[in-house]
Amino acid sequence: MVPAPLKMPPSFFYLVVAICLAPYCLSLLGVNFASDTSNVDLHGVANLPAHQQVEVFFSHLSGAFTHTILEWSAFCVAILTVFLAASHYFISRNLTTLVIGAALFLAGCMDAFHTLAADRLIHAVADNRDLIPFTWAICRVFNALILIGGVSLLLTHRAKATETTNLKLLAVSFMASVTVAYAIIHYSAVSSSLPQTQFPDNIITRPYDVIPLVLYIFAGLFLFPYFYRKQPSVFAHALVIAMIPEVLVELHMAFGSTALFDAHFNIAHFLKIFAYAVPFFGLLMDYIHTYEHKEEEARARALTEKSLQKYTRELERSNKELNEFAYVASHDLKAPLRGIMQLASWIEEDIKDNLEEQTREYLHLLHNRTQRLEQLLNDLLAYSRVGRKHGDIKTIDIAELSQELFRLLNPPPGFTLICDDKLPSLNTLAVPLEQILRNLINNAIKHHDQAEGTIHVSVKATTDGFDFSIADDGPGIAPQQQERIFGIFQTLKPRDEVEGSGMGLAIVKKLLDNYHCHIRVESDGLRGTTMHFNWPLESVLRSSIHE
Amino acid sequence: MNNDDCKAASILLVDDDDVDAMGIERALNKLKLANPFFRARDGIEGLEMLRNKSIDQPYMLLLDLNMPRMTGIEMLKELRSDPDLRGTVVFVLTTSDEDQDKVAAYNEHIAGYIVKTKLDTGFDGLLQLLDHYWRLVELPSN
Repeated sequence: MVPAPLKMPPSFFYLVVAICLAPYCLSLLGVNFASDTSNVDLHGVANLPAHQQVEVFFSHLSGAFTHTILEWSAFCVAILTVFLAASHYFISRNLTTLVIGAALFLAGCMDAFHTLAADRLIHAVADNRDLIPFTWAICRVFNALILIGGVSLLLTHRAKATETTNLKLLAVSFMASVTVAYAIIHYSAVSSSLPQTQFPDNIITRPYDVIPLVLYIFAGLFLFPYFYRKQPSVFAHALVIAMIPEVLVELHMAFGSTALFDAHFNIAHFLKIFAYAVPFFGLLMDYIHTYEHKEEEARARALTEKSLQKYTRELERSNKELNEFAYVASHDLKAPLRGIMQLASWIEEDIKDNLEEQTREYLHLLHNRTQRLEQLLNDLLAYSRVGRKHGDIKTIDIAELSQELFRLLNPPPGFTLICDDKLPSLNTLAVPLEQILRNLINNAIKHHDQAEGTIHVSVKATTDGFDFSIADDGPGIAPQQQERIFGIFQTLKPRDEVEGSGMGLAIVKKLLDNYHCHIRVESDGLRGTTMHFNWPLESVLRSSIHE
Repeated sequence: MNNDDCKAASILLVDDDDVDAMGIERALNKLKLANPFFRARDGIEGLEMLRNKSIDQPYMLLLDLNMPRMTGIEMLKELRSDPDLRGTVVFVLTTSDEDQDKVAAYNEHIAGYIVKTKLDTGFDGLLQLLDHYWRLVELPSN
């Protein structure tokens, strides 16, 4: 699936432009958007019955009602926006929507205070002809500045702080801004001397509205497109588009409106609802987009999990097969081999009295080869079993163990095993360590080229375990051969010369791999070989058993 | 009572390998043992012979584990759940050196577990052991 582009659909853009231009075009065609109160005779009211008096007041207040409805609609959109922004944030954890949503809501709050003051629902003494245009201009400047401030914050902010710190910061600045907004409106409402804001005879009828106009143009042309490029999202794109109604609102006000509730005044207020609605729809689209994205992610995750399960099953199956193979090797391959060995020995028994020397030699070789094959099978089986059992942790005396292993290997009379003075007693896994030492000591004896030999065993304690060294004074291993000796079925001498399956070091290496340990060979290839390997601490072994 | 007074105990070998059967016969001849020797090729055949009473009493069983149709462990389970045969003295004789096989076999109360590859001198040693065994140990008779 191709991801949806991170922008509002083009049709949305054209719709916004059309709606923004529609009122002006309609007014050019003669439609009057002004709240006309000229035909109301307030002086004759005193003679009318009470209910008709109220109707006259109502007609007279139509401009104020329209103003209130339009302002309040914009405020309602701002409320919806902040709720949607909050829920969007909890899905996407993207601060942009939350910050801009909060900024829009703040601006909406100030608009609401402005309306309440104009309707005298909160304490106000200033003349509405001054109060409404003046606080409107302040609201617009506030709106523009808070949006620009919010976006700048997002542009300069690097997501270093933790989520809670961000949210706390946002909440504090939000509360502070609401207080400032209310204070400004309150101060204006109770002020007896507000500056003149309307100049009906000038080209610029409401010069104060030029400030937000310039700010919106700057935001729409430079800042918000830059922000969209830096942090592309559907919502950021909608924010750019929202500057179209904002600019038109200010054009109507700064260059059109000459009095309260006239056509340009009403059109501006109507378009302001749109200025709030565009980011709201942007947020809605972003919300849908984010949700779809999350769905897609969840689907992909489910798919990955499924294939992971498949691989696990496959692995289990092949492991089982391997175990079965080991069993087959141990029984089915060895049984016929035993038959051959027995038959050969019976033949030897039956004809031993008139056996030629040559035939005796052949029978001997046959016996030897079958025995070798049996040893190969046994060692292959041992190799495949490495790691299946750890055994128990026991206390072993390395010196004692080495000497015992050495004796059990029946070394030729000229051989001695010398242990360092301070070989430790370890609490460790006895079975694998014993197997490693046995194989290494066995190699040192078996591959020795002289009648007398000495094997040195030493252990050094390190920070994360022990370093073992088994040194002999045998023929050494040429450097170019040192890599391959750890492979399976690798021997450096023909098996007829030195009997061996070539599995000893492979088993040692696999045992060490099991506990993430390493073995390394040190030899100049002329005389003597030292095998170094490390062995973990008891605690590490315990945790790897639990794995 | 001395077993020497009785006739020699029969040996029933349940094993699919002909060479092993030949090896046991060879060892019997070589050691000049008079024990009657019977052979079955798998568990099903072995059970049949026991249930037909075609084996002379008393008898001992030499049982291989890995066989076609019915394995040694399966046959042991059958034996132990059969009221007439549950007392049978069984020696397991197998190539398998697996711990799991040893445990499974001893759980069925066998008299001994012998790994073929460890019989260096062929079956002579085993047959000598069996000869001593039946002479000294009282075998059950049904």
